[in-house]
Amino acid sequence: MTGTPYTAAPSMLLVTLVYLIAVLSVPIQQPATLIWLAAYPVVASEITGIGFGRVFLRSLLILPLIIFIGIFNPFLDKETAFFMGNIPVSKGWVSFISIILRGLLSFQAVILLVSNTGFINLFNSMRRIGFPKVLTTQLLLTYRYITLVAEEAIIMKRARIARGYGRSRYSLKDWGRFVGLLLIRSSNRAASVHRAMKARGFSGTLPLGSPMRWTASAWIWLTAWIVIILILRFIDFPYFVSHLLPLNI
Amino acid sequence: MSHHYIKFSNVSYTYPDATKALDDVSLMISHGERVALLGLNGSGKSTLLLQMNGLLLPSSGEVNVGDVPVTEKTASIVRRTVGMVFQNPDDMLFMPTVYDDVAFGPRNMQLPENEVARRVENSLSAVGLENQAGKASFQLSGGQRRCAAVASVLSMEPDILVLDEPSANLDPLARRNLLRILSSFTHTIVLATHDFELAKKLCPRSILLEEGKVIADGETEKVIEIFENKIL
Repeated sequence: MTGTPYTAAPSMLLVTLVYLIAVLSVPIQQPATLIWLAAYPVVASEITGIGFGRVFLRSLLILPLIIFIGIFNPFLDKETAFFMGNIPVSKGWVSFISIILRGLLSFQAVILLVSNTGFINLFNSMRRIGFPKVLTTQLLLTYRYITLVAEEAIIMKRARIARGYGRSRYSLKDWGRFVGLLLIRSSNRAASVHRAMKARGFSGTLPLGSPMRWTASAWIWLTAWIVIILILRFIDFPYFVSHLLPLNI
Repeated sequence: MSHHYIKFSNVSYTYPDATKALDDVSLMISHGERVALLGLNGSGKSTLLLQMNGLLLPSSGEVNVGDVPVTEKTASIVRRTVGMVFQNPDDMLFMPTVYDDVAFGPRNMQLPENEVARRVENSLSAVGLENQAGKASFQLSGGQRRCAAVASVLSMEPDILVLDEPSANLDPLARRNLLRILSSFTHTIVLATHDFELAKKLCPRSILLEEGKVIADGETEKVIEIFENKIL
């Protein structure tokens, strides 16, 4: 996916960075603020045509990891934070919910970023806004290596199925051999790719692509979202709704 | 342009696993020549090509590209002169679009972006892929991928074009197209191939390798005859 014109890679990257800082800076005992910040992945994914449903489903992949990180909080912090009716809710549960929300929202923002810009444009943008060359080159080559491993895995799977005569269960020893062979094959392919890169002048740093054009719509996207994210982060909407709004009615 | 010759002087090469791939090879390829390297699998053709680009360095002996001895220090200079097209185009195409793949070499040469654009445009039109610039390489057919790989080297405007089995896995139409592209290249061409027809049509001179040694060097028709007599 290349995204829409107003989501040019640098503006998308900067918005994502601001968003991540905003999400991570929310105090752990204030999960309500995070709910307001969910506006960014929801609205931005719909505007760019990716669809929030898709982004949300993909973000669930990381849920087990986030649960693992936060699951001990309810057991370690039993101090009551508030009552829900007559039921006390501990600070541990509040921080657990907060961790889940932070993790999901951050991952959704990253999914949105990658879906809109593509990895290569993303790395180019990172370089242009000052990320170290070593880091971006390593990330890009790692990404390339992962695709290469996947290609080799598909080839091996096809070969296995073609001569497997319907057999689908293999012993752990066999799987160990498959994985070992996969690593050898992918490392050989990686050496060939590296050789082909060296033959065309690669000396450790990937060249930057064409300069990213900052269109008016990219500026608008950047400015509008930064303003919205800051408002969502710093304005206490529950307080605003419950206290200020009735005064004006 | 005489400085764009390739000279091998008593070159031997042994791989780290002790396989001797080249054994005391001496040969000279002048500027503008078109030479085919023939031989069975494992005869040393690809190793010889990799030495021309500085991707492998001799265990003993010396390779010169023009006045420049091919060493680790000079490899980057040599690679500007000697463009290499690898056997598997997928090894060469890894950027998100065909344009970026063809621009990879010129950008590594740190050319200004307008010059990069000019070279990419020229190279893609030379191989007939001018309308595929925005596509990803995996969306191309096998023949088109090969052409894109050739374009990615032509964009570096090399004086010597080295190709490893360029017609492998190509259908007759793609093969004919490749032949047309290579025929239009006016500088030196060295190609390793099993395709006798391609060698006959493109290269007046051929070199036959066997177990890392040059056993025949001369007119393509005659060298192919020697080769056929040896293997039949």
